[in-house]
Amino acid sequence: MRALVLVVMVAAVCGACVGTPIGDHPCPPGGTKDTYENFGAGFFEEYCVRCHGGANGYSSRSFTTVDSIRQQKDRIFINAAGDNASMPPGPDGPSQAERNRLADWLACGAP
Amino acid sequence: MSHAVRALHEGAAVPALMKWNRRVACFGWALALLGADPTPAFADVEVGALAGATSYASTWRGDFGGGGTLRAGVRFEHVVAIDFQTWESYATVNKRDNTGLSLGVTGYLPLRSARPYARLFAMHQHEEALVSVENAPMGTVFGIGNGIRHRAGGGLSLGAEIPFAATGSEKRLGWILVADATAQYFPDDALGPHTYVMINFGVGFDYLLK
Repeated sequence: MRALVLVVMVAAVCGACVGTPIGDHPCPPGGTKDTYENFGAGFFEEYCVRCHGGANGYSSRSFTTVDSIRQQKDRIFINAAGDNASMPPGPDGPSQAERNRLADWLACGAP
Repeated sequence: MSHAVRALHEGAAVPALMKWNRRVACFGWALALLGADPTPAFADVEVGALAGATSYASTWRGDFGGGGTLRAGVRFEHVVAIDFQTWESYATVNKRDNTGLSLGVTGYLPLRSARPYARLFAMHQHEEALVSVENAPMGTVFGIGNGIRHRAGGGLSLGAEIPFAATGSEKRLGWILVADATAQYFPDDALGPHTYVMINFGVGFDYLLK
């Protein structure tokens, strides 16, 4: 029964396009002035590292270095950037402006 | 050649047969224990199940949800039941899929027109964004994989069963409407809300075994 419910749910999800993938959000024409140092590190420290902080976090995915973020930018984008708001857990996550900034930064390759 | 037959040939018939008699006796006792009709501990035993709908709000701001629920259990003397209940639902914050699995004990007041009940349960819940469900649906089915937030908690339901029909041999099969209010509490709120308050409605049956 649970499997049936999930199949229906997944079908509905696929039909409704739950998340916007990074491919749908090109890097702005002028690029981005944001860097890991002036934006990324602070953003991830404030909203992500509590769970995605390595061995002591809730998740096995770690976002503590710019390289690990670059490697996982597709998953990060579809969960947290732009109009995607699946992460972080709860209603008090980043503002829409911060999510838009994250979207641009990731789409430009997380410089 | 078996040990007993070989023993007969070797002239050790009596000790060998005594050993075999003990084995046969033990085997017989084991069969008797397995096949015996145990002394009935309860006069009335019912099995039952229900399916229903749920809607809820949580302690997260702007978090509401809804979905389905299933419950199945065994009730003794019409008064106390051990039961399992699951909820599958969608919640608005983080666009997430919640799967709750609970094991509980329910006490009933077996009145004629309605059976008020209180259910106390322990539960395990998976909370997962639909993005993760879409990414790994089989992982969601089995409760494993990235993006699933596992939480443990408990709760209390207060409600009533309303019997509306009885059918079958000696009217042992009863049909019921069920409504209850449920509160679920999770001590760890890092990955999800502390509390859910929900309303459940359902239809089900109970079948009197004896």
